[in-house]
This record gives sequence, C-alpha cells and structure tokens, in this order.
Amino acid sequence: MVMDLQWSPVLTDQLLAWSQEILLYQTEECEPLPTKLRPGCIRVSNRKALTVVAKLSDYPFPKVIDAYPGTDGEGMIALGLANGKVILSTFGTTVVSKEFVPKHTRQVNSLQWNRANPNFLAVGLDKARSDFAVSIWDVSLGSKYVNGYHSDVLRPKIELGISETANSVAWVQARSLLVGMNGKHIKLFDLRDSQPKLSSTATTKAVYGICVDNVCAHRVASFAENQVFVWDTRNFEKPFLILNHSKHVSKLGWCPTRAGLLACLEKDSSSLTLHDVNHAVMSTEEGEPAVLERRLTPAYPNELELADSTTVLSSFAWHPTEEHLITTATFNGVIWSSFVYERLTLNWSPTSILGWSDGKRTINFIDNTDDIYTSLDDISVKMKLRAKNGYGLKAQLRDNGNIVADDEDLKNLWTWLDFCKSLTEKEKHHLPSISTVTFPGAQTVLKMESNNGGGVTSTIKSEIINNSSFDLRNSKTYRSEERSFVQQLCGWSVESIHDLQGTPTRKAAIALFHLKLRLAIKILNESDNSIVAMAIAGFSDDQNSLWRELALAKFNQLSDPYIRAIFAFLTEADSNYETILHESELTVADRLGFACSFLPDAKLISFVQEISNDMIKKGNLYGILLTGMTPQSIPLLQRYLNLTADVQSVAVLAIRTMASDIASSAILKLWIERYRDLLDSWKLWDERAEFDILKNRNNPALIPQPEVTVSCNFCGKSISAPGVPGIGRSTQIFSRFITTDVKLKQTSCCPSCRKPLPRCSICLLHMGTILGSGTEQPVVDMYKIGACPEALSWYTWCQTCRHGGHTVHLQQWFRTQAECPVSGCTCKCINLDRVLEFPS
Amino acid sequence: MFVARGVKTDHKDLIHDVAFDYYGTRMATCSSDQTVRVWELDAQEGNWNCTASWKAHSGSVWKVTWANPEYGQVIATCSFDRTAAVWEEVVGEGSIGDRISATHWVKRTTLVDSRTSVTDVKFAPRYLGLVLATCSADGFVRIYEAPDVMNLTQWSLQYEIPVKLSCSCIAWNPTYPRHFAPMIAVGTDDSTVDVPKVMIYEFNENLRRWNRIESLKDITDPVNDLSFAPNLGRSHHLLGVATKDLKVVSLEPSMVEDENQVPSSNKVTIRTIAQCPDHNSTVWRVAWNVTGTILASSGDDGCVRLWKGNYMGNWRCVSILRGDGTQANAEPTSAAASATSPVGSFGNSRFMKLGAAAALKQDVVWH
Repeated sequence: MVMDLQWSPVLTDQLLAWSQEILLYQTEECEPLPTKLRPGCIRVSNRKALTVVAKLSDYPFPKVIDAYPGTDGEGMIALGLANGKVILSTFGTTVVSKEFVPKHTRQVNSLQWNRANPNFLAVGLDKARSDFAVSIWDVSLGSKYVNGYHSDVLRPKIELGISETANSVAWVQARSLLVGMNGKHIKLFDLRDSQPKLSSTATTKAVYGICVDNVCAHRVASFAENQVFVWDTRNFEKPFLILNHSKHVSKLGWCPTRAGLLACLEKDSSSLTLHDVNHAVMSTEEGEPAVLERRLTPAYPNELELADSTTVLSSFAWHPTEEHLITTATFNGVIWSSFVYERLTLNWSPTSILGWSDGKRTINFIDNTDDIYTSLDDISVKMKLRAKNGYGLKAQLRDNGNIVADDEDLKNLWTWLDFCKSLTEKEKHHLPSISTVTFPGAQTVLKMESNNGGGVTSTIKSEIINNSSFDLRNSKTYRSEERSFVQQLCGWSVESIHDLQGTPTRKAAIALFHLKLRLAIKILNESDNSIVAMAIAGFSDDQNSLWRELALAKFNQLSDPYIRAIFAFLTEADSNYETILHESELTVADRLGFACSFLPDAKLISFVQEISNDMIKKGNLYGILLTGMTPQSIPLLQRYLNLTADVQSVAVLAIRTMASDIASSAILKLWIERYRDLLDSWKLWDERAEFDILKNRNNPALIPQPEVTVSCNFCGKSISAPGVPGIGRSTQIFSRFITTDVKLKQTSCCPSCRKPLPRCSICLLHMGTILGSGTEQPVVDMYKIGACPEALSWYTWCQTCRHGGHTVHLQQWFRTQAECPVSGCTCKCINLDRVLEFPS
Repeated sequence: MFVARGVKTDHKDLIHDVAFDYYGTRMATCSSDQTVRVWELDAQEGNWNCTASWKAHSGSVWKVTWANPEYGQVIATCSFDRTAAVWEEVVGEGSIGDRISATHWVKRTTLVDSRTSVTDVKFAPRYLGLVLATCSADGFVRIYEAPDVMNLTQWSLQYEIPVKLSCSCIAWNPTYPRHFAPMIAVGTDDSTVDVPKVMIYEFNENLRRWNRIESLKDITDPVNDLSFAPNLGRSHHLLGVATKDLKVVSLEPSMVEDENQVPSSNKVTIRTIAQCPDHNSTVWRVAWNVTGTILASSGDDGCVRLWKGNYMGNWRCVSILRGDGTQANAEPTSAAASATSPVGSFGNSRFMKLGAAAALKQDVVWH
C-alpha cells in the first residue's frame, strides 16, 4: 500500500513512498521487459527498477511529508503528524530527529520546505483557539538539528493566523507564502520584513492543495471538491481558470520541467488528468479559455498482471529534473513511471520522406534509403524505380515485363500480352471475332455478349468429335476455330509440348488432355515421376476395375495438382469435370484450355463467365486472359488497383493496349491523370513526357496546339514559316533559331518584312546568327542541356522583362549575376523561376 | 541501433505542423513560438537547410500547408490568434551568390473572419482553383477563393459552413474532376458524448452549396486529426482519423462510368475498416504515403506507428518509431490500460483545443 510519494529533490534517483512506514527507494537501471528482476526489486518502467534502501517505521501514517531540498540534509525529511508534531528525521541506523511541537494539539494539514531557502519550513495546522495556524520554522537557528533537540527552546520564527485554520501552505519563491485559510480564502503573505505582511487575498473555497508552478512562479493552482482553480498571483482577485472535474480532486502538481502543465488526480480514478494552461493566458478577451486536457493512464506491462480493481491511483509525483517523467502509485502499492510525451506531428512527402517532430524541437526523418523504410514495402518506391527504368515505355511489350521481374504476375502479363498481340496479328484474318481487337481475351474470342437479362450468350458453334481411339467412356471433345485460338492464348500446344513452361507433370497433363496418353506417360517417365507414370499406365476404363477404385480413393491426397488432374480425368471422377475445372491450384490458363476441349458450348460459356467473375472479384491479373485488354477488363484492373494501388501498371497498360478506349472511359482517363501527376510530383518529367508521347501516338487529335508563337516586332507576323502560323509542333518555332547549316539562310531577319530580329543582349548579334565555333562551353551546365549543343545557341528570354539572348551567353551571365544584362533593366530574371533551383 | 536523421529546427517551442510541398523538396514547419520556417532539401547531402524564418502570427501557429506549385510558392498558415494567412515567396534584393536569401516571404492576406482560434487550413485540390478551407473553434468551416491567381491579396469568403461544433481539423478529398464532387471531412474536438465527431460535406454543383452528406456515427470521441488518402484511381476513398484510437474509414461512392455526368454521389457507403488501439492513448496526427497504402500515426505514447492494409483489408502496425528517432521493437501491449478509461469522456472538460499546449517558455508567454 502506498499513500503518497515524492521524488527526492536533491538525490533525484531516490523516491520516497509512505503509508504505515516510510520507504526510501533507489532507482537503478534494469534489464528491459520481459526479463524477470531479482527479488526485492520493483520494476517502475521498462528500464528502471526500485530497491528499498531505507525504512522508517517510527511514525506510522504521517499526514504529510516533504523531503528537505537543501544539499546538506543527508536525506532529511519533515513529517507532519496527526497530533500536530512536525518531525525532522533522516534515514539511517541512528535516527536523529528534531521535533517541533505546537502549543495545542491538532492535526498538521500541510508543510513545505522553502526551495529557495531550505532552512525555512512552513507548517499549516488545524484551528486552535488563541493559537496560530501557520508556523514557520528556521531549522538552522539554535542548535543544529544533528545535535539533538530541546523542544521547549524552539520557537517558530514566524507565526500567522491566530485562531484560524490553515488548509494548505505553499511557498512562492524565497519570501512569500500562500496559505489557504478557513476554507474561505487564499492569502498571500510577504515575509521579507520581520513583520509579515498580507499582500493579497482571494476569496474562494478552493483552499486545498495549493501548488506553485516552479517554471512560472506567479501561476498557482488549488482545488476544492471537483474544481481546480488556477490563479495568477499578480492578479489575485479572481481565478483566471476554473477546471471542472467529474469527481473530487485529491492532488495537484505542476510539471517542474515545463511551464503550465498541471497534473491532477481525482479520487477513485486510475488515470491522471493533465491540463495545459499555456494558452489560457492569451485568451483574455474571449470568455472561453483554451485549455488542453489530456489523460494519462499508466500503461502497465502485462507482466505485472494487475487486476482491474488495483489500478486506482493513490498519488503521483513529478520527477524534479527528468523531463516529463511522472510516477504514479496505486493503493495496492504498484509504482509506475510514465512519460508525458509532447504531441508529435508528422507528415509524409510524395518522395517517400516521413518526417515527425518530437517535443525537443527537432524533426526526425526516414526515407526510402533506410532499411526500416524498405521493410514497409512501399509500392510508391517500387513505382518510382520502375518509372525511372522506363516501365511501360519499352517498345516491345515483353521488355516491360523484365522491369517488373520482381512481380511475377505483372511479368507474365506483359509476356502474355506480347504473345497475344503477335498471335492475334497472325490469326485475325481467320477469325472474325477478333478482327478488330488487338488483345482479345477468351470472352471476345468466344463472342460472348451480355444479354438484357444479365446472362451471357454466345453464337459459337462447335464440332463434336468422338475420339474412338481413346478408351475413355466419355471422351467426346469439341472443336472450333475459336476454341483452338483460346487454347493457343492459354499457351496450349501439343505439337511443341516439350517447349511448354512448367513442371513435367503439367506437360504430361496437357498431353493427356490432348488424349495422348502414351506421350503423357513418356513425359512422366523421363522426369522423376516414373511411379506416377506406372500408376497411369495401369489405366483401365472398366468402371469396376481395382485400378479405378484405388485411384478414386487416393488421388485427392496427392500434392501435385496436375497429377491430381490426371487421375481425375482418367478415373472420370465426375462426368462434368468439375474437379478439374475448379481445381484452384491449376492455373486459369490450364483450366480454360481444358474447358475448351471438353465442355460443350453452353457449359463453356458459363464456365468462362463464372471464372471471369471470380478473377474480377480477386483482382487477379491472370483474368486478363479471359477479358483481354478490352473494356471488359476495366473492372478487373480497378479491383487490382484497389488492392495494390499500382496505378502505374494500369495506366501504362491502358495506353499500351487500350489506347482506343481511353477517350470513352472516364476511369482510364482518371488512372492516366493520376499517374502523370505522380510522375510530375517525383520530377520524372522526362518519363512523363515520354508517357504522353506514347499516349497520343495513335491519336493526333490529343496533341496540344503550339502554345507560344514568336512574332516580329515590326510587322507583327509570326517569324515561323510564312503563311502557316501556328501549325505544327511547337518545337518548330525554336528550330528556327538553331544555327545549323540547313537553317542558316532563314535566320536573322523576319521572313515577312525582312527587318532584323532582336539582338542577343550579351553578344549584341541578331538572333539567328551563328555563334562562332569557339562557343564557350558552360563550366557548369546548370540546366543539363549540354547533351544538345544546339540548344546552347537557341534564343531565350526572360518572361518578365522580355530581354534575352543566346542561351549559352545568358547562362554564363547569370552564373555570377542576378540582374538582367540589359543596361537599365533591374529585372532579377534568374530569381524569378524557382523551378530552376531544384535540379532533380 | 537505428536512429533517424534529426534536424534541429531552432524553433523555440513545440512544433505543431510539418508540411512538404508537391515535390517533397521543400518543407514548412510552424510552432508555438509564433514563427514559420521554410526548409529546402539538399538533394546530394540529404540535409534540410532553413531558408526562411519569420514571425507569422501573434499566437501559436497550428498548421501550415503548401499550395500546388502551379500557383507559385505559396503557403497558408492558421493560428491561435484567430487568423489564417497566405504567404508568397517573392524575389527580393540580393546577388546570385546567395540566392537563398534573394527571396523572402510576403504576407498576401490575413483572413480574419473567425472569432476564435483557427485550427486548420488546407488548400483544395488543384483542379478547383486556388481555394482554401479553414476551420475554427467557433464551429465554422470557411471556404475562400482567390478568383485571380495572379493576385493573392484578394480572397473572397465563398462559403461559410456551420458545423455547430468546435472544429479541430479539416481535410479535402483529393479527388479528380468529373469523378466525384468536391468533398471535405471536418473533425471536431467537442467532447459531447455520443455525437458523431466527423462530418462529411459535399459540394452540390446545382445548388451551389456545401451539403452535409454524412456524419460518421462510429466516431464519437473527440477527433484530433483526419486525412484522406491520396486516391490513385481507387474506387473508394480512405479517411484516416486520429481520435482516442486510430480509425480508417472507407467511403465508397456509387461510381458513375459516364463521361458527361457530374455524379451527385449522395450515396456514399461508409465503413470503418480498421480500428487500431495500439497507441494505448490518444492519437494526435495521421498522414498517408503518396499512394495511400501506408498510414502513419502519432500518439500520446510518444511513438509514430506505421500501418498497412493487407489484401484482406486488415490493417496492422508494420513499424514503430519513437519520438526521439529510434526504432521501437514490438513492445508488450497493454491494451487493457487504455480500455479502462475512455479518453475525453469527462462532460465538462474541454478535451483539447488543437494544438495545445506547448511548452511555452516564460520569455515567450509572459511578454
């Protein structure tokens, strides 16, 4: 059990806690949780533990205790007892005490050492007729406390408040004392003179627990019942804050390391309330003060195994020096230290920098170069890297897959798209259903169309083939141009079975699904599946054979899905091949290929529809095989995007494979816009421009009109090619000024009026004139245009003052100057364009 | 042991907000010391250098936010002094040698409509023009617009939305035109029990007014911060909410796949998809990464926690960083401690004015 506790103001690693006896604890570092501590140690936080170093049991249940704040006290404490005695005592083997006894016996309500002048001890007592309520003792007077005492000789230095009650006392700096009196006033006494002077009085019922903010000494708090009053001693008539609580308050304490933070304990509460009153000071005009309230619930580790009822707090104590450390005690004696953290703010930049503040006025950063960030697996980091590598911009679709080799699904998709494109190119003349599509999926090939009722219809007609050569009872297969095209899309081809990807069992299964049992056995035999091969070789179509019976019973236990499929097929486990079609471990392609051989038209269509819906629901990119890159794939891609936020892939897929659909689909436009915005914010402008070029390649209508034309100063006509103003790519305007041989004859004068063009403000030659071959190369190529030497002799100008010249000249000029080179013009050309300051 | 790179800000008091610009190469910070600082990233060294610092307000500066760079280098701030302000960086005197000091920040306007502390300020998504939303403790959201983007001194108060509860934070849904109507979420720190603390407003193009379309009934504790996830084409919006715990709310509008129709997406399906009590205490701030896939939150436990949703839509804490920049290991959770006392449930006490409390040093406060 702990009634109250206090950190020693001098030896700041010592904690006093008292109830029936007074314990002095020493803190020490300890192993972090969950390490068990040695017996006798009490864990007080993750890294700190307490051990009892001294005990004082002579004075059970003292009313109040204050530890001596002077450095010479050797752990002396003052105890106020219920009979009015005040004991000075130290821990140790020989208890040396001094005793202050009042004339009349009554309870000590409050006592406090003066922090600024540790000799003075103020004691507040209950009422006694014709005796004083407050006595102030000077412990340095008379005999030294270590030399024993004579209680009759000791007199209080100052006495105040005759026949009154002192509910609480508190020192304000060195020579002023606040006393809560008679449950009615708080009085501020000035003790600088020998005669104490009452300097101000506040009339209030909140006379209890007066405490002074050490950081800001005119701020004082006190409480009564469920209200906490905050006072300013400079304007003491009325409280500047009244904080209401739902329960009665039992203790107050200002944070000693930070201004204006008041901790407040309510009765029967397992948490503390912290009031931050700093801003209340400033809101003098508006009625409502701005107080921040926080609650602090000690976060006991599970190892302490507390029952809920034991968490009611009995008291708390701020640590005098350690920042924001507060120690709480429960009635059951659990002592725990908590930090009162400053509120952290944080933000995340588009370039993967996470910054957060901590209270000590620093900001911490991590970014994608840190291991800790890498472990987050942030898709934006991946996208940025892929964008830099030209993801989606490679001419060959297949090459884009290599950039995303770390994502198998995406890589396979690009490979398949490449394959699909070339296959479609080859076959489109035979198959009317794909003649207009570049990337058809099974749905397109099979001419599936949604009808009004929400169902799906198709007009395909397939030929039924009875494979008499094969012994299976139900060996009907179906064939049509469409079906075989879909099988090709699935990568099924029996002719080149050895070139197929995947395990030997997959090859064997595909061979078998082409009704080539011998080939399947051969493939299995060549791999390390000869046992399986043997088992299959025993195949018998007799419905009652022992082989079938055993295979049926056991094949579900096999781990390889393809071997399972082989047995399911041979044993005809079910007539509709449900086992194979819904074997989730088989790839979509293999299930679809199988369905194309063995399902009749209607069932095939409904199977394709069912599996497409499933893929869309899962956002599985393999579903593209079914939808193709057609508008039907948008729901699937949307789902993929919802799950992964990989806007990059869907945007590049859209421009590479669905260019014709972009105009009619708001969603595709949105994805493209968001991706472009992302590239812009990463300053990957070149990549964005390349993306735009690809996007608009097939759609000249989207190419923006020239945004700038240069017109002649004299005739006002464009100095671009005469007669065709504003046509063509905007770069053509600038190409006029390229001093290549081709352009030479057209330069330096206006094509319409033959007046000379403006001069370069540095070399004073007309624009368009050739710069000498000895063109000074810029020492530092600020704008990274050195790769294009022609650009150095382009004419450029300031958007504000409209003075300009050859790029190379201006570059050299502005390397040392901020002002325009034209005489008399004070334009700070180079400072105007901030973006130049951020070379990426 | 891992320690994050720390930058001493020289702010004389608690930092209330950190904001990065569109490119992530500039940063603005604001503090209770009434100043704003602007920082630039040295790309080679990875250091942040302070390029400007000035006293922006006569009270704690709560929030700072960058406008899209197409409107210039513009930031907005809001403060306890009951104003919000718009600042623009302009070219000043100075030689090329010290280009950094060749610019300075000029106050373009002070927005004085609020009668109480302005608790948050946010620029609208770029396509809406140069539009600014503020919210204040007097319970109003105010939408300002600069009709002429070349003249930042002229701001007109376009809409004043009565929220009726003291507002603590505001967020724009970063949507794109034609897909969704403009949307804002407002959080309140009011401590009235059992009242929704997050309101969603949507702009109705036909009526030319902002309508409250939803109140999040799941969130009844005071809200300290909220943030919409950047939406990279997702069909639903995600809203991170910092309250007594961290919540992630999904708002799914009925998607309209129609070119010319501005959807009146009054139908929004709202689900709380994550509720994370790991901070064991009040959550102060939330921020999303650029793809809206990872959420960072800071709480009263002095930690920054990073959250990620998996394919199943379950959100879990993937990393914990301490305020001092060190990495925390998965510490023993003590969920029980927070469960026993709901934060801010005390009827009469104001839970928290935004910003609060700052360790105002004597020399700041008492002069």
